[in-house]
Amino acid sequence: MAELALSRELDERLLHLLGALEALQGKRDEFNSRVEQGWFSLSRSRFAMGCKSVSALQYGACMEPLVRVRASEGESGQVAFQVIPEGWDPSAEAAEGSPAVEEIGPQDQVLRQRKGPGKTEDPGSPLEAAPEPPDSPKGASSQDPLTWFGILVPQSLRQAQSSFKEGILLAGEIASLQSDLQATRAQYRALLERRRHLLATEG
Amino acid sequence: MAGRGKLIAVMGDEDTVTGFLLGGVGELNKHRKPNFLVVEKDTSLTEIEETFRSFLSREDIGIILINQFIAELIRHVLDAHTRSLPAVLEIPSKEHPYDAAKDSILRRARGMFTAEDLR
Repeated sequence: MAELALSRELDERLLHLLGALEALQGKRDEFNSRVEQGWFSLSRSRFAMGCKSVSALQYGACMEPLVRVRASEGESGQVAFQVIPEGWDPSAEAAEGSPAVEEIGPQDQVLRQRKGPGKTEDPGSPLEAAPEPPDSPKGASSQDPLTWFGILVPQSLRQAQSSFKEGILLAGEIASLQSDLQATRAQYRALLERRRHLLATEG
Repeated sequence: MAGRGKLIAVMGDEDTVTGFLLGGVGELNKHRKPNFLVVEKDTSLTEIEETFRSFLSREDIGIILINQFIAELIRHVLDAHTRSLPAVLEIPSKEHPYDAAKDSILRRARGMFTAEDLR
């Protein structure tokens, strides 16, 4: 009786494993096609901008991740990965945009005063205010990697970015499936061992 | 840092790394240490292995993306890594398509079944 229950559980684990393998295969194919599309778009950008214009030499001197991954461990040991594209939240971008516009106004006023008779009135405040936006974490994180390659980049470079962004989201799903696969494999081995012991004691 | 989520590290050829950095995974931390490595023709095997090991030991990295042809060079390190975190994903490169038969995870899954088990 116990052997039958164990065999049934083994079958369930095996079916789960095969399902995970099938899902992994599908996600892999999708990921590979996104990445291939991204390379193609990068090559088109090189054709448009020049060979040396899209290379490692253009990487920014300061980099802040715009994508992070949240890992949460499940009961059976598998880890679920969730990709969080925090930098591209449209509401956050809108919220960041409005204070930046407000800051320009006062700075202009101060500069106008410097030209006039009140030049030495308050030199401290504009100097303190000016370095704030680049130092703040929000300002750094909103920097789009596209700007490393110029201000007016070709559409193909934007397409490459979009393809790789999709690839990153799929990478999170693949990592979750891989982890599930490993956990299921460990469970299957443990169940198999238990069945062997059971058969040895019975027979 | 951990509350905000972990990073995605990339090791690969120039186009792969450039693409994923465009996607927004790149980080240079306080010590100017990157979470990526562009592997070129003159990149030594020692450098590749050391960088990969350093990514494995970093707690702020959740996923490592590595071109499969580079993974092949340090296969022993990948096979020895059995923890769930960071997850290692073998990805294709422009000149080397992805081969599932070489993938560490799938090889382990395939090794589950022996002739004795199936009896």
